[in-house]
Amino acid sequence: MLFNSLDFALFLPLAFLLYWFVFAPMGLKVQNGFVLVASYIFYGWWDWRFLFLIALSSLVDFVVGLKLSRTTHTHARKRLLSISLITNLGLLFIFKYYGFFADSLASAFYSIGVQLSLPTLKIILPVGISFYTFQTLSYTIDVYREQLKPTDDAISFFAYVSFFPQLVAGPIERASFLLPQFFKERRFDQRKATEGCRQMLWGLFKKVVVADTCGAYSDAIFDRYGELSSPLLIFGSVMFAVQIYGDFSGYSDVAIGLSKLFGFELKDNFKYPYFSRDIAEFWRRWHISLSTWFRDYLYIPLGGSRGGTASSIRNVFAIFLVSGFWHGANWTFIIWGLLNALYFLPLMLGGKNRRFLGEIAEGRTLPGVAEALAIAQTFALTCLAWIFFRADTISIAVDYLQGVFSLDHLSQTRELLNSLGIGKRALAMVGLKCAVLFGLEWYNRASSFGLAIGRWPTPARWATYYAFIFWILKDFGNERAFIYFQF
Amino acid sequence: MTNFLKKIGLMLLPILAMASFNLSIDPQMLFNKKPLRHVVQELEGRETAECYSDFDERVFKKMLLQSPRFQNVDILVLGSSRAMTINGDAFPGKTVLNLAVSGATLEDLLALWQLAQERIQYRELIIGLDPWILNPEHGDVRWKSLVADYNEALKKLQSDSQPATDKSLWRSKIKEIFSPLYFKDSLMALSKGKASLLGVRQDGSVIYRSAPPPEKETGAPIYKMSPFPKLKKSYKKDLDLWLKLLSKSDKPVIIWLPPFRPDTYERLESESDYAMFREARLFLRTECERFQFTTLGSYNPSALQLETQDFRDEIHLKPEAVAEQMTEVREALDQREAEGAVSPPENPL
Repeated sequence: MLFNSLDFALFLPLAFLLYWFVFAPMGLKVQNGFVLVASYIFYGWWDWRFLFLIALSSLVDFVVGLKLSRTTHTHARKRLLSISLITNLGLLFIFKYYGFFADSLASAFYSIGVQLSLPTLKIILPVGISFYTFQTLSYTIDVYREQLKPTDDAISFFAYVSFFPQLVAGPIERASFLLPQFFKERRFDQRKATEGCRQMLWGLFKKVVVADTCGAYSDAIFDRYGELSSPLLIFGSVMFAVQIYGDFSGYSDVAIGLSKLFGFELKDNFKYPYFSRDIAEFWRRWHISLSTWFRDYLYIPLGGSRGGTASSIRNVFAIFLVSGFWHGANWTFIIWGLLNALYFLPLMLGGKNRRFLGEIAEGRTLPGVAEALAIAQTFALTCLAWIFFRADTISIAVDYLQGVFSLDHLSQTRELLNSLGIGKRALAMVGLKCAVLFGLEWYNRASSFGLAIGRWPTPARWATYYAFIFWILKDFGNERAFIYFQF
Repeated sequence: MTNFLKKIGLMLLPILAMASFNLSIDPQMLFNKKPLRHVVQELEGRETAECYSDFDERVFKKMLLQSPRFQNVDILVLGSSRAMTINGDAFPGKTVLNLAVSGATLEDLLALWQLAQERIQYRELIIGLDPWILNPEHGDVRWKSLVADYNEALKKLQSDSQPATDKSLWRSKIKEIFSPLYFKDSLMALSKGKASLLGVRQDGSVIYRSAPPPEKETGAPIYKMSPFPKLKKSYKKDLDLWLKLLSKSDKPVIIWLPPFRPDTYERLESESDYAMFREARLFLRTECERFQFTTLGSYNPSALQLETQDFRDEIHLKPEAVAEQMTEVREALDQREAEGAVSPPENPL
């Protein structure tokens, strides 16, 4: 079920009322049971057949967790951890990466003159598999490390793994943070719920109004990149940058806001990444739940930056390449990861990767010139990398990049823009949407989301709510899926 | 909690008010079919009826087919808005029923043909064939008003295409009710009062009452032709099955290719964005030849000696130009009749 769909518009009020009025008085276990059922309905709405994968992942990690608590033998514990890792990563491999490996292997053999025919699996990628796999893995790894006590409450655990607000596109919540919330009685908190509604509204605005508009333009430009001029190609990559941000952070905002409505807290997943002053700061602000997951379960176990320079470099490459590969079984994502590693490395080697830990332009309305230039530079580097992320193949990305630096078709830019269906009005509208998005985010950058307007006078606040609601309804045309569903 | 729910209720109140207003005005007759029935009834006793708003043409044509006047017709017309102005005047002495609908997709053509098969007797069929009927990205869901008839047509063709549901049509309709743009339409419909947008003739053809739409910006995408990434396989297959079935019937079929305005055609011919137009044209041409249909008209206006002034907009001929084009069609039909290929209409009684 999409957050931006009619189905969800009916599902949400029904689930909310049942949750608080019918199941909450019946006790925590029943309420958690309802969360589980609601989550499975939410996921099964897309394709019920893949529910068994979530159930299997949950079951394996639940049992492994219990068994880990009953043994102190290192070998037995390692074996149990391996069972979880093999099951979860195995499912991920089969459903997400098998085709990629089979094709790459076949191509490699073909290049040395050997025809290799590997069996193909005609299966679709289960939505959100990378998210819930990492979420459930975090539980087993934490239990294995004895940083978390395993639970014997199957319903709560299954509900934690499939918690519908963040099931299909995160934030990836650690068991140590989210699972204990299933064990505490949840009382309706009006302040929290109101804030949740505001954050949901903001998330839907980012997705429906901004991301989908920018997405239509970036799609049109990436589809015809070969015949477009440099300014249009730059515009296309900027549009994609805004689209992916609005889309993904919009989903996170809706997920976090929705959780608040049901009495849960989720961690922030984005902290205004496009205001970052360097790439290191960008990665502390972009998809935080994934970056910190890789930091804690991959980078630090590999030694982090504690070893020598060579091992630090290796670890940086490892984390960025794996992060790229996590997004999809395509070389384009790997190159995207590689580019980010290359951006990050000089900062780390120069000891400058933790320069910007504080708020941007703290105590000031606008950034200084140097700050603004740093933000622009970081954004430009990010847009460049997004070209690889968006392109279907590396050769397309390379051709696109060549186009960015080419002078071909320059004089036809206006005609080409028209041929894409982007007139002056459309340009003004997309400019306005981006200005509202980034303007409000800049204004509220000390808060956790752009529409944190709780302190505004009531008339201004309500006028803003209505403006956003009607804007969303106006643009609520296609129910375009969130980009990160595919990961 | 009560306080919170009250606030949410208050927040939703204007939205519900807007939706109620939209529903009550319903400028495009999404839910309220009464005005459509009224138009159909009016046509029983008059030559033309006036439409004061956009309406569901599919449902209107379906209603027309229920009229006893059309139990037997000489000529049945199928096609898009580009064929909607074909009327009985072009075929003196013959009864015409025009079932063309705006933006007709293959689904529309099949559904309306199926309905006609089921409900009436006709002697000759004119199909206005548009290249976009093979476009998988036509993005039109209006045909879903006839979803059951489309599914029935697929059965008749023994097609292996998946039967469709009208889920997305309902979604679109509900979304419209909650849309501020529809609210704007409702307001405009209310303020406009009784200004006719379209005249409908007894034979189902239309008469334009409003001015042509404003010219699009230079280079703007051509209606339904962009994006056009490929020819949809299932459309090709279903079209093939349909034409095959039609070719076996004893009722003559004329395929009419409605022309594009010269500048539009030039773009379709030269721009890479419209490569699939060329593919579609080739496919349609091959199919028509294969089944030996009389194919008249041309997408190319110069082949018909048409100029820019003959067009109402980038894709529509002016009604008088359509009438002129029909001369050739009439002659072809007359010739077929003279050859004795046309069987008399069967007496339903």
